[in-house]
Amino acid sequence: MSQSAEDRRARLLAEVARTPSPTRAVYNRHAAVIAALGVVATGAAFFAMGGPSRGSRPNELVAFSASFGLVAAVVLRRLSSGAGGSMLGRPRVVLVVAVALAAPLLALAAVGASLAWPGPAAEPVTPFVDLACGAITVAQGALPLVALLLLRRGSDPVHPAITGAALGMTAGAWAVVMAYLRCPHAAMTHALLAHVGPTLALAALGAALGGWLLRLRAD
Amino acid sequence: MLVAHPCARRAPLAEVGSLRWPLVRDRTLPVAEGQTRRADPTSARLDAAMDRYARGEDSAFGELYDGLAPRLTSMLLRSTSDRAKAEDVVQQTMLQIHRARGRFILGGQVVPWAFAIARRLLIDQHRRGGREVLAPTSEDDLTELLEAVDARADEVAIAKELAARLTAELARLPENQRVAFELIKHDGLSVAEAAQVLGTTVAAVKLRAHRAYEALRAVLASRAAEDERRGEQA
Repeated sequence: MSQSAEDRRARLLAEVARTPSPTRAVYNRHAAVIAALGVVATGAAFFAMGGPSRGSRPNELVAFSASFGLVAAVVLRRLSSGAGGSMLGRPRVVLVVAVALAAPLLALAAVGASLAWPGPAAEPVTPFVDLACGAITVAQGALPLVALLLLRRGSDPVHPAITGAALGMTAGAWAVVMAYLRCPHAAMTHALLAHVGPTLALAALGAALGGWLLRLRAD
Repeated sequence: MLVAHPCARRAPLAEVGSLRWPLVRDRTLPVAEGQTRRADPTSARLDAAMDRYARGEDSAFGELYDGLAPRLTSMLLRSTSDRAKAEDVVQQTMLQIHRARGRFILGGQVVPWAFAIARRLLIDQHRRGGREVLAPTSEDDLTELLEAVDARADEVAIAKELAARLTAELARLPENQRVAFELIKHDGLSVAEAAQVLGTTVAAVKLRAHRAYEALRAVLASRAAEDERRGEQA
């Protein structure tokens, strides 16, 4: 090893000794706190905006719609959180396909629910209600999205925007679950516009924020 | 730039670029045949060191640096002619690893992670710094290649010409094929590790590397045909 290589090594080790960095145990504690805050904030927002409301919908319809969203959220969370021993997440194509398929599958479930329970689905919903409910869905999805992004801040050197989009869709799926639990309307167009539609907005928001927050930053 | 790894020093000239040419750290090439490589003990040792470092054993960082820095420098010097810049990126990469050690998951792989960080930092530097001159093939590299193939004096000119042709062909390849080839061939990453670094699937990396190998083999085949013609004329 040349003298300059030894110098570089010594300088780096000195810099590392000066720069504090959390160990895995400390980082896991911080991550648990952020995750808990995200869950509490999302739950508080859910109840602040009215909490669960069944309206005229049968329990089976609520359970079907919400559980479909829940499965999507869990699958997306698993896909966007990494693979095996990789520190670099899933391949780009896996994330893109997951993001691209999630909204159509959720829409398909909404259409299926309206066909299976035509009575509640026939109740009319005004465009204002569609808009307000859609805004609430976006707001409720934004909180878990922020938590998910903060947990992985500055950690993606490969495709931060795509990872952000996957996290946005994950948060969107959680928002869909909450929408089906709180919103008493079962009309198909309402479910598509105000419950499933916002997942696309959250995926776009996740891509934009992910490209900024998740990307690796030089000193 | 074609620089043979020291492990490949006794490879006969005819096998250079063929599917059986030994790769780095005595691993053979299964890429084009769809097989996977043996696990790299060096990578496993570095993973273990990183795991210890993530748990708080500060002395493991030196081991990590010694294992990663030469490989990262070698990889970066293929993309930049500026050695100081490459060394700076290596230092930054190691600092990033230090800062993010708490994130290192149990059983994680540090080598592809470090390569991906280094590549990202270099790309960002290129974007910030504007113009960048790609590293040319140096005489030193060619000399190293010639030593690696254990060439006789009369083979030197042939080997130099061959190396120049292969280098030119490599430069002509689409970037995704070239990078996949280089990560596997020069940097000694497994196909799975290269796929992680590039953010793509194992199948995609195999395909890219296979196409690169095919292109390089075509150059070798044309060279062999030329030699044959010359032999017949003589």
